[in-house]
Amino acid sequence: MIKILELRSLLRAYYQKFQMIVDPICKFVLAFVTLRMINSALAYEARLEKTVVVLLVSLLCAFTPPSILVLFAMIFSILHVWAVSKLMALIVFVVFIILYCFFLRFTPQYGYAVVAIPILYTINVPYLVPILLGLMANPITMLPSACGVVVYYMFDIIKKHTIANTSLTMDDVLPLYTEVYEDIVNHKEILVVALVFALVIITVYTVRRLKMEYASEIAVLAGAVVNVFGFLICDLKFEVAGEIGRMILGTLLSVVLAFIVLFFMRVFDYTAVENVQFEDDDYYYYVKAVPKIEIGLQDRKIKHINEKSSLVEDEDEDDYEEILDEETGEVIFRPKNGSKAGSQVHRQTGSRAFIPAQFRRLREDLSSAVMSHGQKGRDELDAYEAEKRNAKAYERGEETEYLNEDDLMRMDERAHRTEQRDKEQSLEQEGK
Amino acid sequence: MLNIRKTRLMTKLAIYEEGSGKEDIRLSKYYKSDYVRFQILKTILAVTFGYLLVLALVVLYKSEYLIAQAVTLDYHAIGITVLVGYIILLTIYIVGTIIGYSIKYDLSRGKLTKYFRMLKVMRKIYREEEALQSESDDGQEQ
Repeated sequence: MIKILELRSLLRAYYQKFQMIVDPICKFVLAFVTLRMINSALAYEARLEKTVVVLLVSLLCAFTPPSILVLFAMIFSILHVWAVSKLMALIVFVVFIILYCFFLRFTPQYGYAVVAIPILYTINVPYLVPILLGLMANPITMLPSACGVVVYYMFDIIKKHTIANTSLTMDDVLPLYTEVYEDIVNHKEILVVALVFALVIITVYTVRRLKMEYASEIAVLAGAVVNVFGFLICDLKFEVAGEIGRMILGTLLSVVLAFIVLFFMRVFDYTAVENVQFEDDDYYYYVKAVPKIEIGLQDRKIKHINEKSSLVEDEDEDDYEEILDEETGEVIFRPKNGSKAGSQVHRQTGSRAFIPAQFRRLREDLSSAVMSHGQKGRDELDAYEAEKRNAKAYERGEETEYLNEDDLMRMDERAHRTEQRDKEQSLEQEGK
Repeated sequence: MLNIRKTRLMTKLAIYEEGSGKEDIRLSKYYKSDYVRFQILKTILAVTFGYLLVLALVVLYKSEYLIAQAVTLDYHAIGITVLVGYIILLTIYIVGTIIGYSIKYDLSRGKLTKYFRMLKVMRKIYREEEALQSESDDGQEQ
Protein backbone atom coordinates (compact mmCIF):
# COMPACT_ATOMS: atom_id res chain seq x y z
CA MET A 1 0.00 0.00 0.00
CA ILE A 2 2.81 2.39 0.92
CA LYS A 3 4.44 1.64 -2.41
CA ILE A 4 1.26 2.65 -4.22
CA LEU A 5 1.00 5.85 -2.23
CA GLU A 6 4.61 6.67 -2.95
CA LEU A 7 4.03 6.03 -6.63
CA ARG A 8 1.08 8.38 -6.48
CA SER A 9 3.14 11.12 -4.88
CA LEU A 10 5.85 10.61 -7.45
CA LEU A 11 3.36 10.79 -10.31
CA ARG A 12 1.83 13.88 -8.81
CA ALA A 13 5.19 15.59 -8.57
CA TYR A 14 6.06 14.67 -12.14
CA TYR A 15 2.66 15.74 -13.38
CA GLN A 16 3.06 19.15 -11.80
CA LYS A 17 6.43 19.46 -13.45
CA PHE A 18 5.42 18.34 -16.93
CA GLN A 19 1.76 19.35 -16.96
CA MET A 20 2.26 21.59 -19.97
CA ILE A 21 3.46 18.63 -22.04
CA VAL A 22 1.41 15.81 -20.53
CA ASP A 23 -2.01 17.41 -21.01
CA PRO A 24 -1.82 17.96 -24.79
CA ILE A 25 -0.25 14.52 -25.29
CA CYS A 26 -3.11 12.87 -23.38
CA LYS A 27 -5.66 14.83 -25.38
CA PHE A 28 -3.90 13.99 -28.63
CA VAL A 29 -3.86 10.27 -27.87
CA LEU A 30 -7.50 10.38 -26.78
CA ALA A 31 -8.54 12.18 -29.97
CA PHE A 32 -6.48 9.85 -32.14
CA VAL A 33 -7.95 6.71 -30.58
CA THR A 34 -11.49 8.12 -30.74
CA LEU A 35 -11.25 9.08 -34.41
CA ARG A 36 -9.59 5.80 -35.36
CA MET A 37 -12.38 3.90 -33.62
CA ILE A 38 -15.05 5.91 -35.43
CA ASN A 39 -13.23 5.25 -38.69
CA SER A 40 -13.04 1.53 -38.10
CA ALA A 41 -16.66 1.31 -36.94
CA LEU A 42 -18.16 3.31 -39.84
CA ALA A 43 -15.68 2.74 -42.63
CA TYR A 44 -17.63 4.38 -45.45
CA GLU A 45 -15.62 7.45 -46.30
CA ALA A 46 -12.09 6.49 -47.35
CA ARG A 47 -10.77 10.04 -47.27
CA LEU A 48 -11.43 10.36 -43.55
CA GLU A 49 -9.53 7.17 -42.86
CA LYS A 50 -6.24 8.61 -44.06
CA THR A 51 -3.74 8.77 -41.23
CA VAL A 52 -2.79 12.33 -42.17
CA VAL A 53 -6.35 13.55 -41.67
CA VAL A 54 -6.73 11.74 -38.37
CA LEU A 55 -3.35 13.00 -37.16
CA LEU A 56 -4.08 16.59 -38.12
CA VAL A 57 -7.48 16.62 -36.44
CA SER A 58 -6.03 14.93 -33.35
CA LEU A 59 -3.32 17.57 -33.22
CA LEU A 60 -5.96 20.27 -33.35
CA CYS A 61 -7.88 18.54 -30.56
CA ALA A 62 -4.73 18.41 -28.43
CA PHE A 63 -4.67 22.18 -28.06
CA THR A 64 -8.39 22.95 -27.93
CA PRO A 65 -11.05 22.34 -25.26
CA PRO A 66 -12.51 18.81 -24.99
CA SER A 67 -15.78 19.89 -26.58
CA ILE A 68 -13.97 20.31 -29.91
CA LEU A 69 -13.18 16.60 -29.87
CA VAL A 70 -16.87 15.86 -29.37
CA LEU A 71 -17.67 18.13 -32.30
CA PHE A 72 -15.12 16.41 -34.55
CA ALA A 73 -16.36 12.98 -33.53
CA MET A 74 -19.87 14.02 -34.58
CA ILE A 75 -18.63 15.54 -37.84
CA PHE A 76 -16.65 12.41 -38.65
CA SER A 77 -19.61 10.12 -38.01
CA ILE A 78 -21.94 12.32 -40.07
CA LEU A 79 -19.46 12.47 -42.95
CA HIS A 80 -19.10 8.69 -42.93
CA VAL A 81 -22.86 8.28 -43.19
CA TRP A 82 -22.93 11.03 -45.86
CA ALA A 83 -20.74 8.85 -48.06
CA VAL A 84 -23.40 6.13 -48.12
CA SER A 85 -26.63 8.05 -47.91
CA LYS A 86 -27.08 11.80 -47.87
CA LEU A 87 -30.55 11.64 -46.38
CA MET A 88 -29.40 9.40 -43.56
CA ALA A 89 -26.58 11.83 -42.82
CA LEU A 90 -29.09 14.64 -42.64
CA ILE A 91 -31.24 12.62 -40.30
CA VAL A 92 -28.26 11.80 -38.08
CA PHE A 93 -27.52 15.52 -37.97
CA VAL A 94 -31.12 16.28 -37.01
CA VAL A 95 -30.99 13.63 -34.29
CA PHE A 96 -27.84 15.23 -32.90
CA ILE A 97 -29.58 18.58 -32.78
CA ILE A 98 -32.60 17.06 -31.06
CA LEU A 99 -30.35 15.43 -28.49
CA TYR A 100 -28.67 18.76 -27.95
CA CYS A 101 -31.93 20.63 -27.51
CA PHE A 102 -33.43 18.14 -25.11
CA PHE A 103 -30.47 16.88 -23.14
CA LEU A 104 -26.98 18.16 -23.88
CA ARG A 105 -27.90 21.83 -23.59
CA PHE A 106 -28.05 21.46 -19.84
CA THR A 107 -24.70 19.77 -19.43
CA PRO A 108 -22.43 20.84 -22.28
CA GLN A 109 -19.34 20.13 -20.17
CA TYR A 110 -20.16 16.41 -20.09
CA GLY A 111 -20.55 16.13 -23.86
CA TYR A 112 -17.65 13.70 -24.00
CA ALA A 113 -19.89 11.06 -22.38
CA VAL A 114 -21.89 11.00 -25.61
CA VAL A 115 -18.75 10.08 -27.51
CA ALA A 116 -17.31 7.81 -24.84
CA ILE A 117 -20.27 5.42 -24.59
CA PRO A 118 -20.36 4.39 -28.28
CA ILE A 119 -16.55 4.21 -28.40
CA LEU A 120 -16.33 2.05 -25.29
CA TYR A 121 -19.12 -0.17 -26.59
CA THR A 122 -16.73 -1.34 -29.27
CA ILE A 123 -14.39 -2.71 -26.61
CA ASN A 124 -17.29 -3.89 -24.45
CA VAL A 125 -16.76 -1.58 -21.47
CA PRO A 126 -19.46 1.11 -21.82
CA TYR A 127 -20.33 0.44 -18.17
CA LEU A 128 -17.24 2.42 -17.23
CA VAL A 129 -18.87 5.70 -18.29
CA PRO A 130 -21.83 5.78 -15.85
CA ILE A 131 -19.57 4.61 -13.01
CA LEU A 132 -17.09 7.40 -13.71
CA LEU A 133 -19.83 9.99 -14.17
CA GLY A 134 -21.25 9.02 -10.80
CA LEU A 135 -17.78 9.31 -9.27
CA MET A 136 -16.83 12.65 -10.73
CA ALA A 137 -20.02 14.48 -11.56
CA ASN A 138 -23.62 14.73 -10.42
CA PRO A 139 -26.82 12.86 -11.31
CA ILE A 140 -27.67 15.35 -14.07
CA THR A 141 -25.09 13.49 -16.18
CA MET A 142 -27.69 10.81 -16.75
CA LEU A 143 -28.82 13.04 -19.63
CA PRO A 144 -25.57 12.85 -21.64
CA SER A 145 -25.21 9.17 -20.81
CA ALA A 146 -28.71 8.58 -22.22
CA CYS A 147 -27.64 10.50 -25.33
CA GLY A 148 -24.59 8.28 -25.64
CA VAL A 149 -26.78 5.18 -25.51
CA VAL A 150 -29.10 6.60 -28.17
CA VAL A 151 -26.17 7.51 -30.42
CA TYR A 152 -24.63 4.06 -30.09
CA TYR A 153 -27.83 2.22 -30.94
CA MET A 154 -28.64 4.64 -33.74
CA PHE A 155 -25.33 4.02 -35.48
CA ASP A 156 -25.60 0.31 -34.79
CA ILE A 157 -28.97 0.20 -36.52
CA ILE A 158 -27.87 2.45 -39.39
CA LYS A 159 -24.85 0.22 -39.95
CA LYS A 160 -27.00 -2.89 -40.05
CA HIS A 161 -29.34 -1.42 -42.63
CA THR A 162 -26.74 0.18 -44.85
CA ILE A 163 -24.85 -3.10 -45.00
CA ALA A 164 -28.09 -4.84 -45.97
CA ASN A 165 -28.72 -2.27 -48.73
CA THR A 166 -25.38 -1.84 -50.42
CA SER A 167 -26.81 -0.60 -53.72
CA LEU A 168 -28.33 2.66 -52.68
CA THR A 169 -30.29 4.79 -55.08
CA MET A 170 -32.47 7.73 -54.26
CA ASP A 171 -35.55 5.52 -54.41
CA ASP A 172 -34.18 3.27 -51.72
CA VAL A 173 -33.50 6.11 -49.32
CA LEU A 174 -36.99 6.61 -47.97
CA PRO A 175 -37.69 2.92 -47.29
CA LEU A 176 -34.26 2.72 -45.66
CA TYR A 177 -35.20 5.63 -43.44
CA THR A 178 -38.55 4.07 -42.46
CA GLU A 179 -36.77 0.81 -41.64
CA VAL A 180 -34.21 2.59 -39.48
CA TYR A 181 -36.93 4.66 -37.83
CA GLU A 182 -39.03 1.63 -37.01
CA ASP A 183 -36.02 -0.22 -35.72
CA ILE A 184 -35.05 2.64 -33.43
CA VAL A 185 -38.56 3.19 -32.13
CA ASN A 186 -39.14 -0.52 -31.55
CA HIS A 187 -35.77 -0.98 -29.92
CA LYS A 188 -36.95 -0.88 -26.31
CA GLU A 189 -33.45 -1.88 -25.23
CA ILE A 190 -32.30 1.71 -25.75
CA LEU A 191 -34.67 2.94 -23.08
CA VAL A 192 -33.81 0.17 -20.63
CA VAL A 193 -30.05 0.60 -21.08
CA ALA A 194 -30.34 4.36 -20.61
CA LEU A 195 -32.39 3.70 -17.48
CA VAL A 196 -29.85 1.24 -16.08
CA PHE A 197 -27.06 3.72 -16.74
CA ALA A 198 -29.03 6.43 -14.97
CA LEU A 199 -29.54 4.11 -12.00
CA VAL A 200 -25.83 3.31 -11.90
CA ILE A 201 -24.97 7.03 -11.93
CA ILE A 202 -27.40 7.74 -9.09
CA THR A 203 -26.16 4.77 -7.04
CA VAL A 204 -22.49 5.63 -7.45
CA TYR A 205 -23.15 9.29 -6.71
CA THR A 206 -25.20 8.54 -3.58
CA VAL A 207 -22.76 6.02 -2.14
CA ARG A 208 -19.75 8.19 -2.94
CA ARG A 209 -21.18 11.03 -0.92
CA LEU A 210 -21.78 8.92 2.17
CA LYS A 211 -19.53 9.90 5.03
CA MET A 212 -17.56 6.72 5.47
CA GLU A 213 -14.18 5.30 4.74
CA TYR A 214 -13.50 4.12 1.18
CA ALA A 215 -16.81 5.61 0.05
CA SER A 216 -15.56 5.99 -3.55
CA GLU A 217 -14.33 2.41 -3.78
CA ILE A 218 -17.56 1.04 -2.33
CA ALA A 219 -19.50 3.31 -4.70
CA VAL A 220 -17.73 1.75 -7.71
CA LEU A 221 -18.59 -1.74 -6.49
CA ALA A 222 -22.19 -0.77 -5.72
CA GLY A 223 -22.48 0.73 -9.21
CA ALA A 224 -21.13 -2.48 -10.70
CA VAL A 225 -23.68 -4.57 -8.79
CA VAL A 226 -26.56 -2.35 -9.92
CA ASN A 227 -25.19 -2.53 -13.45
CA VAL A 228 -25.01 -6.33 -13.46
CA PHE A 229 -28.52 -6.73 -12.05
CA GLY A 230 -29.96 -4.09 -14.35
CA PHE A 231 -28.49 -5.69 -17.44
CA LEU A 232 -29.45 -9.18 -16.24
CA ILE A 233 -33.07 -8.06 -16.12
CA CYS A 234 -32.66 -6.30 -19.45
CA ASP A 235 -30.98 -9.27 -21.13
CA LEU A 236 -33.51 -11.76 -19.79
CA LYS A 237 -36.40 -9.56 -20.81
CA PHE A 238 -35.13 -9.15 -24.36
CA GLU A 239 -33.91 -12.75 -24.45
CA VAL A 240 -30.32 -12.10 -25.38
CA ALA A 241 -28.90 -14.60 -22.91
CA GLY A 242 -25.68 -14.95 -24.88
CA GLU A 243 -24.73 -11.45 -23.85
CA ILE A 244 -24.78 -12.10 -20.11
CA GLY A 245 -21.26 -13.52 -19.89
CA ARG A 246 -19.86 -10.66 -21.95
CA MET A 247 -21.76 -8.14 -19.88
CA ILE A 248 -20.42 -9.50 -16.57
CA LEU A 249 -16.89 -9.61 -17.98
CA GLY A 250 -17.27 -6.07 -19.28
CA THR A 251 -18.53 -4.87 -15.90
CA LEU A 252 -15.60 -6.48 -14.11
CA LEU A 253 -13.19 -4.85 -16.53
CA SER A 254 -15.00 -1.54 -16.04
CA VAL A 255 -14.59 -1.86 -12.27
CA VAL A 256 -10.86 -2.46 -12.66
CA LEU A 257 -10.57 0.52 -15.00
CA ALA A 258 -12.68 2.63 -12.64
CA PHE A 259 -10.27 1.82 -9.80
CA ILE A 260 -7.33 2.81 -11.96
CA VAL A 261 -9.07 6.06 -12.91
CA LEU A 262 -9.93 6.66 -9.25
CA PHE A 263 -6.27 6.28 -8.39
CA PHE A 264 -5.21 8.79 -11.01
CA MET A 265 -8.11 11.09 -10.20
CA ARG A 266 -6.73 11.51 -6.72
CA VAL A 267 -3.31 12.17 -8.20
CA PHE A 268 -4.40 14.88 -10.54
CA ASP A 269 -7.27 16.31 -8.56
CA TYR A 270 -6.32 19.72 -7.20
CA THR A 271 -2.74 19.30 -8.33
CA ALA A 272 -2.98 21.27 -11.51
CA VAL A 273 -0.53 24.14 -11.64
CA GLU A 274 -2.28 27.41 -12.38
CA ASN A 275 -0.68 30.01 -14.57
CA VAL A 276 -2.43 33.33 -14.11
CA GLN A 277 -1.81 36.86 -15.25
CA PHE A 278 -3.05 40.03 -13.65
CA GLU A 279 -1.96 43.54 -12.95
CA ASP A 280 -2.25 46.32 -10.44
CA ASP A 281 -1.25 49.96 -10.67
CA ASP A 282 2.45 49.25 -10.44
CA TYR A 283 3.12 45.79 -11.86
CA TYR A 284 2.11 43.09 -14.28
CA TYR A 285 2.09 39.74 -12.53
CA TYR A 286 2.71 36.44 -14.27
CA VAL A 287 2.15 33.98 -11.48
CA LYS A 288 2.60 30.25 -11.53
CA ALA A 289 0.62 28.91 -8.60
CA VAL A 290 1.64 25.41 -7.53
CA PRO A 291 -0.79 23.73 -5.10
CA LYS A 292 0.81 22.57 -1.88
CA ILE A 293 0.76 18.83 -1.61
CA GLU A 294 2.35 16.52 0.88
CA ILE A 295 4.77 14.21 -0.77
CA GLY A 296 4.83 11.21 1.48
CA LEU A 297 8.05 9.78 0.13
CA GLN A 298 10.04 8.27 2.89
CA ASP A 299 13.38 9.89 3.38
CA ARG A 300 15.30 6.71 3.92
CA LYS A 301 18.65 6.51 5.61
CA ILE A 302 20.26 3.15 5.91
CA LYS A 303 22.38 2.70 9.00
CA HIS A 304 24.60 -0.34 8.98
CA ILE A 305 25.04 -1.08 12.64
CA ASN A 306 27.46 -3.98 12.30
CA GLU A 307 29.17 -3.23 9.04
CA LYS A 308 32.89 -3.29 9.54
CA SER A 309 34.14 -6.30 7.68
CA SER A 310 36.62 -4.23 5.69
CA LEU A 311 37.71 -2.07 8.55
CA VAL A 312 38.63 -4.58 11.23
CA GLU A 313 41.96 -5.46 9.71
CA ASP A 314 43.76 -2.59 11.36
CA GLU A 315 43.09 -1.38 14.78
CA ASP A 316 40.10 0.74 14.23
CA GLU A 317 38.80 3.51 16.33
CA ASP A 318 35.44 1.76 16.36
CA ASP A 319 36.95 -0.98 18.47
CA TYR A 320 37.59 1.48 21.20
CA GLU A 321 35.18 3.33 23.26
CA GLU A 322 36.06 6.78 24.25
CA ILE A 323 35.64 7.50 27.93
CA LEU A 324 36.52 10.26 30.24
CA ASP A 325 39.11 9.63 32.86
CA GLU A 326 37.50 11.22 35.88
CA GLU A 327 40.76 11.65 37.80
CA THR A 328 42.89 13.25 35.17
CA GLY A 329 40.11 14.73 33.13
CA GLU A 330 41.67 13.16 30.03
CA VAL A 331 39.86 11.42 27.23
CA ILE A 332 41.04 7.86 26.95
CA PHE A 333 40.37 5.06 24.50
CA ARG A 334 39.53 1.69 25.99
CA PRO A 335 39.03 -1.45 23.88
CA LYS A 336 35.42 -2.56 23.62
CA ASN A 337 34.42 -6.02 24.80
CA GLY A 338 34.83 -8.76 22.22
CA SER A 339 36.66 -6.65 19.71
CA LYS A 340 39.80 -7.81 18.02
CA ALA A 341 41.87 -4.96 19.34
CA GLY A 342 44.36 -5.58 22.07
CA SER A 343 43.60 -4.81 25.65
CA GLN A 344 45.94 -1.89 25.67
CA VAL A 345 44.51 1.38 26.75
CA HIS A 346 45.29 4.19 24.33
CA ARG A 347 45.90 7.52 25.82
CA GLN A 348 44.80 10.27 23.59
CA THR A 349 47.92 11.27 21.74
CA GLY A 350 47.71 13.84 19.05
CA SER A 351 45.35 13.54 16.16
CA ARG A 352 44.30 10.62 14.03
CA ALA A 353 44.83 10.89 10.34
CA PHE A 354 41.19 10.92 9.37
CA ILE A 355 40.15 13.72 11.69
CA PRO A 356 39.91 17.02 9.86
CA ALA A 357 41.71 20.04 11.18
CA GLN A 358 38.58 21.60 12.61
CA PHE A 359 37.95 18.53 14.69
CA ARG A 360 41.47 18.49 16.03
CA ARG A 361 41.00 21.95 17.31
CA LEU A 362 37.62 21.05 18.61
CA ARG A 363 39.06 18.15 20.53
CA GLU A 364 41.68 20.30 22.17
CA ASP A 365 39.04 22.77 22.98
CA LEU A 366 36.90 20.03 24.42
CA SER A 367 39.47 18.43 26.64
CA SER A 368 40.07 21.72 28.32
CA ALA A 369 36.32 22.26 28.53
CA VAL A 370 35.93 18.89 30.18
CA MET A 371 38.50 19.82 32.69
CA SER A 372 36.83 23.04 33.62
CA HIS A 373 33.16 22.13 33.51
CA GLY A 374 32.23 18.62 34.54
CA GLN A 375 28.79 17.76 33.20
CA LYS A 376 28.62 20.47 30.56
CA GLY A 377 31.85 19.23 29.13
CA ARG A 378 30.52 15.71 28.99
CA ASP A 379 27.51 16.87 26.98
CA GLU A 380 29.75 18.59 24.56
CA LEU A 381 31.78 15.45 24.36
CA ASP A 382 28.73 13.48 23.33
CA ALA A 383 28.00 15.97 20.62
CA TYR A 384 31.58 15.78 19.54
CA GLU A 385 31.38 12.00 19.37
CA ALA A 386 28.39 12.16 17.13
CA GLU A 387 30.19 14.55 14.87
CA LYS A 388 33.19 12.30 14.79
CA ARG A 389 31.08 9.34 13.77
CA ASN A 390 29.64 11.40 10.99
CA ALA A 391 33.06 12.45 9.84
CA LYS A 392 34.12 8.85 9.66
CA ALA A 393 31.07 7.81 7.74
CA TYR A 394 31.71 10.71 5.42
CA GLU A 395 35.19 9.39 4.78
CA ARG A 396 33.82 5.98 3.92
CA GLY A 397 31.61 7.62 1.34
CA GLU A 398 28.33 6.97 3.13
CA GLU A 399 25.60 9.51 3.17
CA THR A 400 25.58 11.35 6.43
CA GLU A 401 24.52 14.61 7.80
CA TYR A 402 28.17 15.43 8.06
CA LEU A 403 29.02 18.98 7.26
CA ASN A 404 25.63 20.34 6.68
CA GLU A 405 25.25 24.04 7.04
CA ASP A 406 24.41 23.96 10.74
CA ASP A 407 27.49 21.94 11.54
CA LEU A 408 29.71 24.25 9.61
CA MET A 409 28.25 27.21 11.38
CA ARG A 410 28.71 25.58 14.73
CA MET A 411 32.28 24.75 13.88
CA ASP A 412 32.99 28.27 12.82
CA GLU A 413 31.51 29.52 16.03
CA ARG A 414 33.64 27.21 18.10
CA ALA A 415 36.77 28.06 16.19
CA HIS A 416 36.02 31.69 16.72
CA ARG A 417 35.49 31.15 20.43
CA THR A 418 38.75 29.25 20.77
CA GLU A 419 40.59 31.97 18.98
CA GLN A 420 39.16 34.60 21.28
CA ARG A 421 39.97 32.56 24.35
CA ASP A 422 43.54 32.09 23.10
CA LYS A 423 43.83 35.79 22.61
CA GLU A 424 42.49 36.47 26.08
CA GLN A 425 44.88 33.98 27.58
CA SER A 426 47.85 35.49 25.81
CA LEU A 427 46.75 38.96 26.93
CA GLU A 428 46.46 37.72 30.50
CA GLN A 429 49.93 36.20 30.32
CA GLU A 430 51.32 39.41 28.97
CA GLY A 431 49.62 41.29 31.80
CA LYS A 432 51.23 38.98 34.34
CA MET B 1 8.22 46.99 -3.34
CA LEU B 2 6.17 43.89 -4.02
CA ASN B 3 3.55 43.19 -1.43
CA ILE B 4 3.61 39.42 -0.99
CA ARG B 5 0.31 39.33 0.86
CA LYS B 6 -1.35 41.28 -1.91
CA THR B 7 0.20 39.12 -4.61
CA ARG B 8 -1.03 35.96 -2.91
CA LEU B 9 -4.54 37.30 -2.62
CA MET B 10 -4.54 38.57 -6.18
CA THR B 11 -3.37 35.17 -7.41
CA LYS B 12 -6.20 33.44 -5.59
CA LEU B 13 -8.67 35.92 -7.01
CA ALA B 14 -7.30 35.49 -10.52
CA ILE B 15 -7.46 31.69 -10.31
CA TYR B 16 -11.09 31.89 -9.23
CA GLU B 17 -11.95 34.51 -11.83
CA GLU B 18 -10.43 32.54 -14.68
CA GLY B 19 -11.66 29.15 -13.52
CA SER B 20 -14.88 28.23 -11.79
CA GLY B 21 -15.65 31.85 -11.00
CA LYS B 22 -16.19 32.90 -14.60
CA GLU B 23 -19.70 31.49 -14.61
CA ASP B 24 -20.43 32.68 -11.05
CA ILE B 25 -19.43 36.24 -11.87
CA ARG B 26 -21.59 36.15 -14.99
CA LEU B 27 -24.52 34.99 -12.87
CA SER B 28 -23.92 37.73 -10.30
CA LYS B 29 -25.16 40.26 -12.84
CA TYR B 30 -28.69 38.85 -12.67
CA TYR B 31 -31.32 38.75 -9.98
CA LYS B 32 -32.33 35.20 -9.27
CA SER B 33 -35.81 35.62 -10.73
CA ASP B 34 -34.44 37.28 -13.87
CA TYR B 35 -31.85 34.59 -14.35
CA VAL B 36 -34.33 31.74 -13.94
CA ARG B 37 -36.81 33.46 -16.25
CA PHE B 38 -34.15 33.94 -18.88
CA GLN B 39 -33.25 30.26 -18.66
CA ILE B 40 -36.91 29.29 -18.96
CA LEU B 41 -37.13 31.35 -22.11
CA LYS B 42 -34.11 29.60 -23.57
CA THR B 43 -35.53 26.21 -22.57
CA ILE B 44 -38.86 26.99 -24.24
CA LEU B 45 -37.06 27.93 -27.46
CA ALA B 46 -34.85 24.82 -27.39
CA VAL B 47 -37.69 22.46 -26.55
CA THR B 48 -39.92 23.97 -29.25
CA PHE B 49 -37.17 23.64 -31.83
CA GLY B 50 -36.39 20.07 -30.76
CA TYR B 51 -40.06 19.15 -30.76
CA LEU B 52 -40.49 20.53 -34.27
CA LEU B 53 -37.54 18.47 -35.47
CA VAL B 54 -38.99 15.34 -33.89
CA LEU B 55 -42.29 16.11 -35.58
CA ALA B 56 -40.45 16.53 -38.87
CA LEU B 57 -38.84 13.10 -38.48
CA VAL B 58 -42.22 11.54 -37.68
CA VAL B 59 -43.84 13.29 -40.62
CA LEU B 60 -41.07 12.06 -42.92
CA TYR B 61 -41.59 8.53 -41.64
CA LYS B 62 -45.32 8.66 -42.20
CA SER B 63 -45.06 10.74 -45.38
CA GLU B 64 -46.43 8.06 -47.67
CA TYR B 65 -49.41 7.46 -45.44
CA LEU B 66 -49.97 11.19 -44.93
CA ILE B 67 -49.89 11.93 -48.64
CA ALA B 68 -52.19 9.03 -49.41
CA GLN B 69 -54.71 9.96 -46.71
CA ALA B 70 -54.30 13.74 -46.98
CA VAL B 71 -57.97 14.35 -47.57
CA THR B 72 -59.49 12.04 -44.99
CA LEU B 73 -57.16 12.85 -42.10
CA ASP B 74 -58.64 14.08 -38.82
CA TYR B 75 -56.41 17.15 -38.54
CA HIS B 76 -58.20 18.35 -35.46
CA ALA B 77 -57.38 15.22 -33.46
CA ILE B 78 -53.79 15.17 -34.72
CA GLY B 79 -53.37 18.82 -33.82
CA ILE B 80 -54.69 18.24 -30.28
CA THR B 81 -52.40 15.23 -29.76
CA VAL B 82 -49.38 17.17 -30.95
CA LEU B 83 -50.27 20.18 -28.83
CA VAL B 84 -50.95 18.14 -25.67
CA GLY B 85 -47.65 16.35 -26.15
CA TYR B 86 -45.91 19.67 -26.57
CA ILE B 87 -47.51 21.21 -23.48
CA ILE B 88 -46.69 18.19 -21.30
CA LEU B 89 -43.09 18.18 -22.51
CA LEU B 90 -42.78 21.91 -22.00
CA THR B 91 -44.22 21.73 -18.47
CA ILE B 92 -41.77 19.02 -17.48
CA TYR B 93 -38.86 20.99 -18.91
CA ILE B 94 -39.93 24.28 -17.35
CA VAL B 95 -40.29 22.73 -13.90
CA GLY B 96 -36.90 21.05 -14.34
CA THR B 97 -35.36 24.33 -15.47
CA ILE B 98 -36.75 26.26 -12.50
CA ILE B 99 -35.44 23.72 -10.00
CA GLY B 100 -32.10 23.12 -11.70
CA TYR B 101 -31.16 26.72 -12.38
CA SER B 102 -32.36 27.92 -8.95
CA ILE B 103 -30.00 25.42 -7.34
CA LYS B 104 -27.22 26.52 -9.67
CA TYR B 105 -27.80 30.18 -8.83
CA ASP B 106 -27.82 29.55 -5.08
CA LEU B 107 -24.62 27.53 -5.31
CA SER B 108 -22.89 30.27 -7.28
CA ARG B 109 -23.98 32.84 -4.69
CA GLY B 110 -22.34 30.73 -1.99
CA LYS B 111 -19.06 30.76 -3.86
CA LEU B 112 -19.37 34.44 -4.66
CA THR B 113 -19.65 35.46 -1.00
CA LYS B 114 -16.22 33.90 -0.46
CA TYR B 115 -14.93 35.81 -3.46
CA PHE B 116 -16.36 39.08 -2.20
CA ARG B 117 -14.79 38.49 1.20
CA MET B 118 -11.43 38.19 -0.52
CA LEU B 119 -12.14 41.37 -2.45
CA LYS B 120 -12.85 43.16 0.81
CA VAL B 121 -9.49 42.09 2.21
CA MET B 122 -7.97 43.29 -1.03
CA ARG B 123 -9.55 46.70 -0.59
CA LYS B 124 -8.17 46.85 2.94
CA ILE B 125 -4.69 46.12 1.65
CA TYR B 126 -5.04 48.86 -0.93
CA ARG B 127 -6.09 51.33 1.78
CA GLU B 128 -3.11 50.34 3.90
CA GLU B 129 -0.83 50.84 0.94
CA GLU B 130 -2.32 54.22 0.20
CA ALA B 131 -1.92 55.27 3.83
CA LEU B 132 1.73 54.21 3.75
CA GLN B 133 2.23 56.05 0.50
CA SER B 134 0.74 59.27 1.84
CA GLU B 135 2.79 58.96 5.02
CA SER B 136 6.00 58.61 3.08
CA ASP B 137 4.97 61.51 0.85
CA ASP B 138 4.37 63.65 3.92
CA GLY B 139 7.76 62.62 5.25
CA GLN B 140 9.43 63.67 2.04
CA GLU B 141 7.68 67.01 2.02
CA GLN B 142 8.78 67.75 5.55
